[in-house]
Amino acid sequence: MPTSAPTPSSPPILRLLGITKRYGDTVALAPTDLDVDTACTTVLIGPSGCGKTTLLRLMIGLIRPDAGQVMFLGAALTPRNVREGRLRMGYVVQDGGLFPHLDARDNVCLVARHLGWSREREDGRVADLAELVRLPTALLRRYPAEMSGGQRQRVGLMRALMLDPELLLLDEPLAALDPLVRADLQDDLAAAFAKLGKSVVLVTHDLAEAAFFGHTIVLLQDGHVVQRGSAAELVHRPAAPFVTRFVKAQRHFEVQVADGGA
Amino acid sequence: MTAAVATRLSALPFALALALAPLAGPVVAAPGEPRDVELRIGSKVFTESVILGEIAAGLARSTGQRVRVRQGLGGTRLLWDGLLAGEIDVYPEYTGTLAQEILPNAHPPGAGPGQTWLRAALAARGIGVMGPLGFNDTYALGVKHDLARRLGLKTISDLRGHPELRFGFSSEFVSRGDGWPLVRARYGLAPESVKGLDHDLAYRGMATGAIEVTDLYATDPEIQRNGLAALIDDLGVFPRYDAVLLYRMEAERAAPAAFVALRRLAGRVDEATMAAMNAQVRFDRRSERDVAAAFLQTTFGVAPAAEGGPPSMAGSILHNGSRHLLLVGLSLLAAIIVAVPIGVLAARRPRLGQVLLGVTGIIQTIPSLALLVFMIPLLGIGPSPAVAALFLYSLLPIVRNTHAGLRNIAPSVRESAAALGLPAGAILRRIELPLASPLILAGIKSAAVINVGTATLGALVGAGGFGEPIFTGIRLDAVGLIMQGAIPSSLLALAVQGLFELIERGVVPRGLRLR
Repeated sequence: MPTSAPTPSSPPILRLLGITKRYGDTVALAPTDLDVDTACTTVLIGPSGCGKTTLLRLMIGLIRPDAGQVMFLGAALTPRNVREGRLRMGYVVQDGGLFPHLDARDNVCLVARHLGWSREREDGRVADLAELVRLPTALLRRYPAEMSGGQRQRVGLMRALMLDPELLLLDEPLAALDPLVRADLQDDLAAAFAKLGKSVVLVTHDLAEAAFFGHTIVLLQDGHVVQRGSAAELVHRPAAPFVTRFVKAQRHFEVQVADGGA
Repeated sequence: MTAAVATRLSALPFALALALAPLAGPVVAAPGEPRDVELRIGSKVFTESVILGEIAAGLARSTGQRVRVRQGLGGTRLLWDGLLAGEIDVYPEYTGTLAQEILPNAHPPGAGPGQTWLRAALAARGIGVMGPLGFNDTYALGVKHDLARRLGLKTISDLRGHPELRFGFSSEFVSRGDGWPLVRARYGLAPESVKGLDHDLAYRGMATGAIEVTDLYATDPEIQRNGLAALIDDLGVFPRYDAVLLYRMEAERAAPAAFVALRRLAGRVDEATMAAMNAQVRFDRRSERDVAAAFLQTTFGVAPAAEGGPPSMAGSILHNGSRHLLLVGLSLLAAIIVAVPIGVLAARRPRLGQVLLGVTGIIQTIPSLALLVFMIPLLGIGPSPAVAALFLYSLLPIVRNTHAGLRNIAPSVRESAAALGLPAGAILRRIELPLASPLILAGIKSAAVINVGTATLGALVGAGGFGEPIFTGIRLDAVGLIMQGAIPSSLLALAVQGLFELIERGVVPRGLRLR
């Protein structure tokens, strides 16, 4: 369990500067500044509708902010360069978002093939990734419809990691899985992140999962960042009454913390 | 000509134009080169017109003229437009139709009932009139021969003295302004009993004696069959429907000898002769061409042109089938090339998409016959207008299904695809189109199956195909002939359905066929 954050030596890999987003009359994000530290796992957490998924989709340019800028690797993300930026990010959605017409291997290799990778380079990379996410290679020729939810998520992660991106974005990647599969996958993901030393942004609504993965936890409410800090800081030095309410609502987490975790 | 057709086709994909060019029909010579001109003779989709067309063709052939007959074309408007557009050179028409349907506004006020004004109006359009041929296919009143003899009835006026006769007219004749109301008023008839009934029932009523006077068309074969006599319209109440041949004046300059022969036809076909020829086709099951040849032999001593006998049934099914396939295949291919991109565009731009779907939907609601007729001035007669119409009909199912197939892709898949960083074209090709392929293919399949059926109407614009035996069969009341077109075209539709199920296995990715 990665409890101590590596001291960020390099500048943030991604910065949100004064970002706002509305859908009609609804404010999805109030003016927001947020840094994503390099080589750290940042977790976005909050109740449904707090803006955490909106924030993630802004980072990869799937939606455009009404105002403000997304800076990725020191440059502003624009419609012109967003495609280039996406090649250096990996993105995993809740149900894996695999393409049903392609088998696991073709899902993973789609972009590499478009970029003209050689078969040998592809094979080597796929083998490494399968080992990393602990996916039996026999499953690589299966279609998404022939795999379990956990297997699909592992393939989704391989696809996101194929080009060795600088930043990995995960939108509730484990939410749809049953508890045992989920615990397994949490362990494997955490191990993979530690091994790769990648910058990761992960969205979840589960504080225990946030504490398990996150060096930095960002708690959101109604489009505002309420508090940014470690799990322990959220519990012991809540910045607002809402933080305490949110922590209390996650009952099993209280028990963990009371037992001396974090 | 070939080039002109190709230019007119430029609205369609280029490949289509190329493929159609050889089909576009005979090469018409410019006025400067009168040799080797093919004279194209058309006729309408009913027996009398087809017989007249064959007679004209036989006469022209007797001068060594090369002739191409396009028989059984859809209707007055189609032939007239075809004549104006230079797609056909000659066809039989009726003066009443000319005056009332084709040039309803050309009759100068105060002009007499003669044909001078009509000839002038036609000449202004480059169209000439030959004839009258000798019969007036207008309404007539008929009584049984023996009754006519017994009562000495020769003219309609003679009926005035016999109010006791039972009158029975077709419903249309009873209600038309130029029908019974006019006859009754002008002749001062006051029969005790007048019934309105179905035309065919009227003949049956005449046979049983239930009615004794009825309306008929002057050359109706039923007249002879039922032993009826047509009473002379001595007051000239009915509009005249004199049969004539219309022709392009330009065609006469190109083939003067053939037109000398054609003019011999004037005044040589009277009502009785025409009715007898109609009866031979209708009741004796002889082909129009046979009947026409016999007429030419007896009237002009013209020997029938040596022709191979009628093609075998298998041969004609094969011939019609290959033409039918060509119509369906070309139109479908062009539709796929055009409709899939339109569907993609519609899915990308929702507002434009509504417009595009609306337009293709409206095209679909145009009755097929009307659409075919619209095509004649643009594309002439033959396979081109049929292919174009089928092409337009195929658009909707393919556009709609392409649009739906793309819109139906799950949001998480769509988002994952966008997040990959692939160019839009690659996303479309590698992800979106494969995912939409089952629906797109279903759209193409339904377009193909509908086309196989609709293509039968192509026969009405001279496109050939299985519609040819069907419409000839309907004209001749020959069920066997109808079946020769209907059965193979149904089988073809089934085969197309089966073919697409095979294609589906090849095209739709395996991952989408699981579950």
